[in-house]
Amino acid sequence: MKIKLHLIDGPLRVGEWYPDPARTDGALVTFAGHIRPTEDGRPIAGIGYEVYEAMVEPEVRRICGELEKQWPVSSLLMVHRRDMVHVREAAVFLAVAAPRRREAFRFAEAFMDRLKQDVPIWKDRIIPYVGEKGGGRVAG
Amino acid sequence: MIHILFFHVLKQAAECGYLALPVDDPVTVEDFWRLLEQRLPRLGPYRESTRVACNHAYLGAGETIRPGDEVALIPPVSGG
Repeated sequence: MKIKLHLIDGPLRVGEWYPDPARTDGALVTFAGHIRPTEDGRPIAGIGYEVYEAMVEPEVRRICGELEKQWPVSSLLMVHRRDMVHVREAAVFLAVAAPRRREAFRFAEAFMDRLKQDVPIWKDRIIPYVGEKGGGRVAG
Repeated sequence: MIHILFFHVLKQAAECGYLALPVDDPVTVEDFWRLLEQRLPRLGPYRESTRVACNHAYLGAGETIRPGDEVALIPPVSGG
């Protein structure tokens, strides 16, 4: 399978990353993970990520190698922010293409689970929302 | 020398992002932790929840770390 990874700074505009599936693929499953306005019940302004970049690609390839034995797919694209991501912005975008939808759906869900278990990316800083009276949106 | 990288909470606990640990021979993960905790006792409480990666791959049980390796201590991840 083809694997493409991008760790980016700045806005992740999902539409700009939406891939064209190969001619033999009948399914393209996409997922975008956005920053929620609360964390542990408290309002936040954003989340800063930390990434061990040298290990992300080897680990993603290892995970894909395991998952494709169960759900053969044609390609995976993952784009992940590695900087400060504000509320409502996308932190991650995933696109999985396969000849048929069942494999694409299942691979994509399993991959996101494994991303959150094994790939060395951390929500490193939770920036609390302090409101307009605080003199701005962001504290910390 | 083992080149150790710290991330996330471990970077705060170690108060640095990198440490060179002098070793002359391959060490087990158990020995590695013992040597590291002698240098940085503050890491002790994190040991159970931390995974050890060597040269960009998680180490399996019984694998060893060699002089010159890049070791990363990986606390629970939270990407996505």
